[in-house]
Amino acid sequence: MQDDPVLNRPLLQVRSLRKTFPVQGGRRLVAVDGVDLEIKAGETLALVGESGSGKSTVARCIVRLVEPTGGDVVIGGDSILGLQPSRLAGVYRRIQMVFQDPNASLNPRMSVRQVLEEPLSLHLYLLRSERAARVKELIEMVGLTPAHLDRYPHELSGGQRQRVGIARAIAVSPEIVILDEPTSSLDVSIRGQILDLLLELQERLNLAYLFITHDLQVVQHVADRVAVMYLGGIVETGPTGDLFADPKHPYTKALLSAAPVARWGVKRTRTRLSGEISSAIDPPDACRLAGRCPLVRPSCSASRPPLIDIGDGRAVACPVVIERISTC
Amino acid sequence: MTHAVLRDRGSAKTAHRRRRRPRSYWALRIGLGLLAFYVAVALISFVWTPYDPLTPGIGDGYDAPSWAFPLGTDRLGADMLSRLMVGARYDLGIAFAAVTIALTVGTVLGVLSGYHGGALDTAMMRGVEIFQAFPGLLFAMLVVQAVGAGIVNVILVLSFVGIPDYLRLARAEIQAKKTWQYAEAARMAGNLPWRVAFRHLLPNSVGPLLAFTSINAAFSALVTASLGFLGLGLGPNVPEWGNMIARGQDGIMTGQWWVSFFPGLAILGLAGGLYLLGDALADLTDPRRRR
Repeated sequence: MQDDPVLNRPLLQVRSLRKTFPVQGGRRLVAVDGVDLEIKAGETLALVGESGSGKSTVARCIVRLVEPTGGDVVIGGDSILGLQPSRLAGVYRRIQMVFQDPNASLNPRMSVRQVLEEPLSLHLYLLRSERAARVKELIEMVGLTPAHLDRYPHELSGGQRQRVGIARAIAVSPEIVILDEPTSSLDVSIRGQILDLLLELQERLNLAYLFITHDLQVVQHVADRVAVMYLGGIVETGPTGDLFADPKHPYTKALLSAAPVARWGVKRTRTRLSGEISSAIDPPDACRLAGRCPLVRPSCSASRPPLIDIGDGRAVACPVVIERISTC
Repeated sequence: MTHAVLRDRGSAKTAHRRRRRPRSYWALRIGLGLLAFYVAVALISFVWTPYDPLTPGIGDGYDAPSWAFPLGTDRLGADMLSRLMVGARYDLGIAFAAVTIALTVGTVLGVLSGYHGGALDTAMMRGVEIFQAFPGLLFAMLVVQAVGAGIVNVILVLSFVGIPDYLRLARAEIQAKKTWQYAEAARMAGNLPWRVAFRHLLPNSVGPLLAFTSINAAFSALVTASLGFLGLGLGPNVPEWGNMIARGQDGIMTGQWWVSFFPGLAILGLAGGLYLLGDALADLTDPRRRR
């Protein structure tokens, strides 16, 4: 069972994904530069990074809301790049997305019922009565009541709107849901409820999540694995617990040590980076962190270090770190 | 907390509305009132006019306004009031038809241009810019001169002149909204791109477009009358207001002012009413113009 190649095949594979945007003066902004990801059924991969690291662009490229410049996205064994828009609709039965801002992601002219019925009628061929039953089931699954179905988005609170956004995403029973900062536009008091709902749904429906966030506490709470992004590239991946306990890459160290710790008496060493995040416009072929890194060496500016496996499911894109691991 | 925020926003909105009510609402009322009056006159003209508008010699010619002929008669003695009433059909009908065509075609093209972007959009916008470099009236005159007068030609040329404005408006609206998350969400819900554009984005953009129809209708009525005045519009005997002004020109110098004056007043009232209405609607529907 464990070795069955079909069952063990990742649901979603992203290979060398690249996205550049043209900017003024014929230059290019490299938003995503060679990202590889894999997600298996039922697991949560968190993609973390600061604003501008390209994590939302990765999400949009995966579902082709943004057209990738290069690389490949494979869902359930089929590449989805190059699919016609009409075939893409079939992909959206398997992969769905919860958007960051529920105020903006719901059409103000559509009632909750219409929002939920739309994917059902476009993706599935259901009888009217089946559809009504499914809509009712969905609204209850996300903790709202059928009374909410005839309301419009402006009549709902932020948390309720995001619940509707979640119900819409799971309506067609996808295998993967991309969560694009699903809680960052919500009140702190509501975030926990939405996260709990997401975890509950994951268990019930065996969903795989690609969880995009900059909130490290949330990551620890929900993710099985973490991928840390910096300026368009992944610098480190690994199981959540290991990565948080023992970050390897200098950027991961800095990111984790910058987060506040809500515990007394915990001593920790802080890693600070000097300077500002460098520009993503026409970057040189070098480590993106080279200008700010405490471990920097001349060779860091020679070429961009690849992500190298260091065992235990972890990988780091820093030759200096890898050298230290292998020498001791 | 969110509830409080929502309620705050709600009250701010009503305060807004209260403040802009006086200005917009009188324009809206006058505009709507005038438009309703003209529509009523045009409809009544189908069932009743005081005299037959096309029969000359009812009066002696150049009869001054009197109880028998409230607005006088023209040079040939046809009743001015009857002719004005029937004229409302032409000027309103042509404007209405031209606006409907221009709105439909211009909006469809604008949505395509705005949503698709790229080369299609560039080509469309260059076309629009070249086209709009000509004054609309001049273009209409040239075309009518070339293809010949007649009601269908006038309607088509007017709608053609109106298309670029709708195209631009629709394009701007769709461009602003196509990266909104609900457009992306609609794609993920299984909508094809054209359905996102027309079913999701366009319904959220109709306000400015509808407001502009009124202004476009006023412009169309004015151009129709101008073409008539220049003898390029409908046939010379058609009781269209522009035609009637042209016919009454001779009388102005010799004191028979009513033959030109009343059709002119009719056009002024129609165009003015439509402009007021359009302006008021733009105020009410366009958030950028709310103050």
